[in-house]
Amino acid sequence: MSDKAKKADAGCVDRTILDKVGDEAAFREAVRAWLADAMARRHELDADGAASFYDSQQWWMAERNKIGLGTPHWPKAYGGDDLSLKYQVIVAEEGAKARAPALNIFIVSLNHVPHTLMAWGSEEQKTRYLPGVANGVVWCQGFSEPNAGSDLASLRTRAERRGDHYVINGQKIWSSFSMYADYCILLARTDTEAPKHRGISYFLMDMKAPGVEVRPIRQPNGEAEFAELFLTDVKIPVEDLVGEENQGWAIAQSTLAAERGVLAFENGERLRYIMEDFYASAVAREAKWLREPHLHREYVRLFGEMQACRRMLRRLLRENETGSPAAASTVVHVKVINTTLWRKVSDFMLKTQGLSGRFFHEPALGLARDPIDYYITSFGGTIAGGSNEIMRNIISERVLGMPRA
Amino acid sequence: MQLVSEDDLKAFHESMVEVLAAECDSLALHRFYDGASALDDLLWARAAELGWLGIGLPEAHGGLGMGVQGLDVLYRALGRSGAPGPFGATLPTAQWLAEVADADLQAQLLPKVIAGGLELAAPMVPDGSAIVSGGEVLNGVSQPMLTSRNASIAVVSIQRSAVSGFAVVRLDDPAVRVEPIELWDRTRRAARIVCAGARPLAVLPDATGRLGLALFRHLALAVAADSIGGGRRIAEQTVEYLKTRVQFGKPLASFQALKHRVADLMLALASAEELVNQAVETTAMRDEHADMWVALGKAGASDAFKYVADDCVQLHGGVGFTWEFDCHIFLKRALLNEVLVGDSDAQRSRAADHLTGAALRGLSTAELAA
Repeated sequence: MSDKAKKADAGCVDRTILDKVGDEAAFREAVRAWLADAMARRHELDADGAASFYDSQQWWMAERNKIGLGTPHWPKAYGGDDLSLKYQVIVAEEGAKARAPALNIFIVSLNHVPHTLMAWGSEEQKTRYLPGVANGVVWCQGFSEPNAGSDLASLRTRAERRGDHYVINGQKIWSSFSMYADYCILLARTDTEAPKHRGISYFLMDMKAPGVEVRPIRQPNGEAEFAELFLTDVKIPVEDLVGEENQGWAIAQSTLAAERGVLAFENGERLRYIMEDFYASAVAREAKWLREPHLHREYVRLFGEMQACRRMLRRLLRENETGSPAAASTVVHVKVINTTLWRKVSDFMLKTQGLSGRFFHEPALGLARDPIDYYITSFGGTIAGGSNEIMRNIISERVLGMPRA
Repeated sequence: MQLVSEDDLKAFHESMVEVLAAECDSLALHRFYDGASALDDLLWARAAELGWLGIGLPEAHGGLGMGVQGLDVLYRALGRSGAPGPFGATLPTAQWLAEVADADLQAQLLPKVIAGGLELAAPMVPDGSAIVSGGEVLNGVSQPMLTSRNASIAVVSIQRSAVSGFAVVRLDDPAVRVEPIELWDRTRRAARIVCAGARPLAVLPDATGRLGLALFRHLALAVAADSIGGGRRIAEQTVEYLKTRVQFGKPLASFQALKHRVADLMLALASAEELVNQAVETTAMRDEHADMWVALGKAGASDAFKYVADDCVQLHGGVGFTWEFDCHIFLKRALLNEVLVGDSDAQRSRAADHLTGAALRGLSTAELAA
């Protein structure tokens, strides 16, 4: 963190884009021009083939930070720029349109951490932890455990108070990009006697603290984007407890709500361009499947579902912004629809490819991946963030009021 | 084009749902189904009285000028209550006339529609008319038409030697015969129109096919919205039934296998609903890709309605398979909607043609207003 913190220098930010706030069209135009330039430079970076995934993500965050789009969505006091939702949406739309990389390793840094700290963090925590993100500080999430997946509240990692710190022992799993992480938002049990939801506390953990061991887990596509965390006598100073002791479950709910805003929105925008690129290329090549009426109809059906999903994501943003109670229903519907659609669309693409769709190509940075890779990785969406089965429970029980068994 | 605000539409929709819940409830609908009431006429008169019939039509004719967006919320409310009556044929056809007919014909017909004094018949599907226009008169048999108890004017598609188009025909013309077709869905009426030297009120030639597109666009939007309303209604009613029906000592609604089935119904409806919103909005905005979205919206909505209505029979168990419960009424409505204006394969093939055309021109069809 110290290197990254040192780079913090708000004075260096080029405000060409941010100064256009107030004029949406001009703002969009400026974002678009900057993206065109940045993408051209990115291709140079990729051309030498040496950039790792991590370097490429850090490069992209640094580029965004130069023009104030690293963490513009949070308050100025913590290194942001108070950029309103409307302008965040423009940045997300234009980024997806430019086929710019997603800030994958920063998902927790950019969404879960600010969402949580803004609502529950102390002034000191906000001042200490938020400004670093724009300079590339990576956070990961330590929630799930081998025996606490859908039933998260049954987690068993222990946190015992000893004087001015807590001692953590336990095991976490499915922690995305934790091999790159500087910090972790961690749930641990502080009261073993209380009912399971009432004995959990929320911590900010330094991943470089002694006793933290990260063991990457490979996914079915061969990449290791997530990992297990083994925590042995890890010390966390009491000032890194968020909120009160045993308040962690409620705080975790607002962390998870962070996944339901611009992050999900951008995901829908990306799927649009993947579909449009796929189709444009099929039309240009006069692909055989276009002349198969049942396949062509299947494609337009999925295209319609994609558009419906984008509209639902926009509706969700509006409902979130106005505090509409409808958001609680929209969010669970759109989670299932969006993540399922990635599977259906990639499955369709795969179907049109025949045997060649099963040939392996090393994924290159910044290029579209093999459809089979999209298909296989789509399970990440349908399983993570509350599996789609849990979402169906929520729709039936909380939205429709069907009784719990 | 200015869109009507979502809040205004919601307010209209809620008031319509409220009226129809009272006047077209399950009992009333069953009485009509059994031939024991003229609910179709009653609802039509009530709708006229409440000003609903002009919701989409221009203010110049006494309408509310809310266009397809206004009609959409009305169709959804009518679909939700499984309402019989002239709505699904008359209102889209009137909206079409307001777009394509000359001022005289509009002035002659539209105020009467708004007042509830004129019911129109329209083709159920684009193809199949064998009405030929020769000189001043029409001869031949129409394709099946969607009609109503008191329909007095029909818009039929016609073939002329070279150019096809539409004719506005008076059904009380002695040279016109109406041959009713009985439908499984008793909430709608159908007929063939037989012309033997009939003199049309007006002929609208359609050399480019533009008029036909417009007519079936309005009819498709009506079916799509009706499907959303019907699907929502029968799904919600099924959830309520599952909450009350007890087996094995607990409500059926507490079984996870059924909860997930119901969640899937809601997911299908949520997605179809947004697709119909896309169709309505692009039509209201006169977006050049609107017809593609209407085709996808109609297919998506009628597919969702059929899927939902089908599963709701099964979820009800034995009582779902009786005349007395509502399930079959909505299933039959869904099965008719499935083929009205052309089935889903036909809709999606049209959409595919459009999408290819747009891709060849380098256009995106998916732009959304911010």
